[in-house]
Amino acid sequence: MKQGYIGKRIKRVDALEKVLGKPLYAVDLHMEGMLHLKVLRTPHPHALIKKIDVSKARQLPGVVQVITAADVPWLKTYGLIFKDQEVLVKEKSRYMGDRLAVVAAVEEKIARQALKLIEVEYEPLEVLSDPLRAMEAEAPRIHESGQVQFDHPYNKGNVLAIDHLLKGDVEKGFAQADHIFENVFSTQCVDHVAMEPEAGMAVYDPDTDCYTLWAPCQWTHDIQTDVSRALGIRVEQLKIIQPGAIGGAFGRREDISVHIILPLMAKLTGRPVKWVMTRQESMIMQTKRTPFTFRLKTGVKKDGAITAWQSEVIGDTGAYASTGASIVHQAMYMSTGPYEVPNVKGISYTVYTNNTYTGAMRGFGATEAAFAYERQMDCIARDMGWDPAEFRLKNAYRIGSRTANNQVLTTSVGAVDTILTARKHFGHKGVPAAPHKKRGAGMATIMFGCGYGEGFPDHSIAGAQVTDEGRVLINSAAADVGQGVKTILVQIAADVLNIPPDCIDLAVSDTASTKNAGSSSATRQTIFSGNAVKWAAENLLGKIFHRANLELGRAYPELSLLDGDIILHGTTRQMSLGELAKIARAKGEPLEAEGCYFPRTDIDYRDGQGDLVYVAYTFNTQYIEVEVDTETGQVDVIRIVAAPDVGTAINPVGVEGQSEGGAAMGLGMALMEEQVFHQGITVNADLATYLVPTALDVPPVETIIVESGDACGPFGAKGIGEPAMIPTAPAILNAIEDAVGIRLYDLPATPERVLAALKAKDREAENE
Amino acid sequence: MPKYPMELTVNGEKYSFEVEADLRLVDLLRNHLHLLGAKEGCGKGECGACTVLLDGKSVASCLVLALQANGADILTVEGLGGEEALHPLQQAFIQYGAVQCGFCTPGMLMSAKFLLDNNPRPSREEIREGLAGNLCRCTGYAKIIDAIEAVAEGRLER
Repeated sequence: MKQGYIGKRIKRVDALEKVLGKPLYAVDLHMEGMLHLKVLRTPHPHALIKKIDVSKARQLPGVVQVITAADVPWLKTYGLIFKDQEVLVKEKSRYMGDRLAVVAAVEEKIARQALKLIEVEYEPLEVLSDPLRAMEAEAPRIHESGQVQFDHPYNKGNVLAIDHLLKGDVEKGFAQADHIFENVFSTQCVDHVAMEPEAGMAVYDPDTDCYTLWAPCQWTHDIQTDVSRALGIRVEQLKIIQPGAIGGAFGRREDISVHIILPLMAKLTGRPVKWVMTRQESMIMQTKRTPFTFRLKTGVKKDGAITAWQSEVIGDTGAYASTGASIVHQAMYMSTGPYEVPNVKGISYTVYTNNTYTGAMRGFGATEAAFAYERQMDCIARDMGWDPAEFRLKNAYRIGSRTANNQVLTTSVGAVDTILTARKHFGHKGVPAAPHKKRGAGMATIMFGCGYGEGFPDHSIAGAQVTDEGRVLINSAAADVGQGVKTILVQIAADVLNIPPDCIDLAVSDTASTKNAGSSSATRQTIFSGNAVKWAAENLLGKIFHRANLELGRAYPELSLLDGDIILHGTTRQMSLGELAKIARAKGEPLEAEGCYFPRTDIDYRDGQGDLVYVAYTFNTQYIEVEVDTETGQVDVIRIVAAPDVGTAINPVGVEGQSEGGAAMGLGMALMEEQVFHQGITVNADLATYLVPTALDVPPVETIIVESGDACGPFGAKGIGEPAMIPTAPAILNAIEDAVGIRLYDLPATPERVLAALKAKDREAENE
Repeated sequence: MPKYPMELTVNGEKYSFEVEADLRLVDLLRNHLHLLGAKEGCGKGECGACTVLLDGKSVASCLVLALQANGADILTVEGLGGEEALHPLQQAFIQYGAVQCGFCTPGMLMSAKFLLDNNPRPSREEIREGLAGNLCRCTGYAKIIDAIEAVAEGRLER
């Protein structure tokens, strides 16, 4: 139920300081006497390191320290799930971002010069840039050990993981079908292009043998654990402080970037150290969106009912695992979309190559899967003569549906509502500006599982307290990477405590004073930290009433809490929260409380089946109008109508912001963005050759929020961050097909590809 | 490397410096004057996060050498308006939800000011053109355009 501050268009809590240019991002940090770091990375994506000579670099005036792997043999490997990354590579490079040496110098300029003085001898190896080649049994191994062993012919190559999905009997399902549709779709490598490049600062205190690191993290506590392990120290020896603001993330700040080398160099040099990466370095080095191939086979009866769905999924995790194996199997699990299919069979392969390693990026496999299944659904509807929306409505999940993972959906299933809402608001496509331009309309409907799910332990802990000044202080490690979770948490506490948002503060987020809130990823913070803060605030409210009852001799409902004061009804007596907090503290029972949300999920990895695989699913439908220039192949997106089902919108401005930003990111993926590798080497590592949408590319986005109000998050909410972008790319390619009749299977739909398809279509027409 | 004298007015204050020839304006502002609002997102003039006004014109301060700005009048986000006297654009960015991660915000505000200084009543299309050199990865630009339009049309709540 909506109360005082829920569903309100509250101003962001950090907007004022941001328009003043005041918050300190990692790139803004400074300490007296600090050194600047630079890292030498290998130019060969796959090569043996025969010799590294740093003697000339060490002699350059202003250089304080230069290290290679030989200087720090005690360092351990790291990685989000599989610990397959070396801090500094010893014997071979596996991708272009691998680190060979670190320089610490008094000026950044000197550190850069020193890199040029380091001499390295390489012996190049075969570069595995194509996952199909990497899967071959005789392909050279990128990682000699540590791979998971499977009883499968492909495990002789560079396959990291093979996963399965088995529901019903797919052969029986295909036998029942009247039509079988088979298509192959592919998605590309994409950079997050968070506006702030990787950066941070660290200090080491020899007296306590403790490290302090300032660097953006989507999850401070998990990074703290992985860094401590690599450095061989206890977790409590490393304190990570989240900088005052974080310049975007979109998944890339889930992985380690600067976080091990900074504390390491702080200790080795005995001085504060700072490291800011260049955009080029950031684009070559840090995780990317996993490129995928989907081979889909779908069986459909004459009446439009889907009887069977088979998916073969290959994902290129690049040189390191990161979360690649989870991303790839999630893409397979999601590959039937929000549609009820009784018989499903899937297999997925996660493959190592020498391309830049990939990891979480907005959607975590679900974005790529949606491109494939929503193109597949559109092709089927078109070939069978169905209206695209009606065909989806025929098969869409409803309450009681069983997902491909065999989870029965019992609450908050907005798939149908989002289709009907978006269709109604979209209306009809317009008239093109010129005869050689064609208008088309396309739609896509998607689902996304919120939270880590799949039995992975997933929780958030939050604290709330009343200060002696009568303000409420919330203590949460939930990272605000720009998405606005701070504002959401303040709104929730304000609502529970009936106190204005501007009377609530958020404690500085660091690993010493906050407890684990999990990651700002998986579209989970509104649900997880939202619930944790709600319960912390409710526990705090209980303590406030208990203490007020003892001090004022009256109980609820004679007592109430209004705008930070305890009111005693029928009298003029009242007490401020600050006064109550002082009394409570003096009596040894301070007004402090904690809340934790820790739901259980499950899955059987042998067949991908479970009873509660995700705690909630967000649905989203977009209708998109495009105009295709048949002379140039240029596609302009005219308008986007989005209808996300978020359960309850805690802050509609925040939901719209995610929807608009997500649609823009999806537009980039649909039409222009691709990190291009030639033999593992990134050829477009800057923003002049890697294009992201500008204000001229993004059309108006009209967001109509669908609220079922019954999800498991606070006040019936669920998340929106990732599902905001997921329908955009398939809807745009569906619209292109509607406009000019070309069937595109691969992303991005660049003008070159569109033009080539138009020409091929013309040739086909001439031949007929 | 030899140093050269130069003068600069920044946000109404006059400064004198001795700088090396390869020092960029963005470094001068950030490292010497500790004006950290202008951000470096690419170092190549592609992202617009370091946009400031130089003699009233918007420039990417990563592409201007400090010495090229000798004698110039610079306006950064810190000089746009203070907490007690927000510039209408700053007020609009807050009201319209135009800020997310905030890294592009100072540059966006300066490009918006340049636009409105030269074209006080731009159309929506002209606003989009005016922001084309400033990348934002969070907002999809819609609420930024709304905010600027509100200022241009005098629709701001006071």
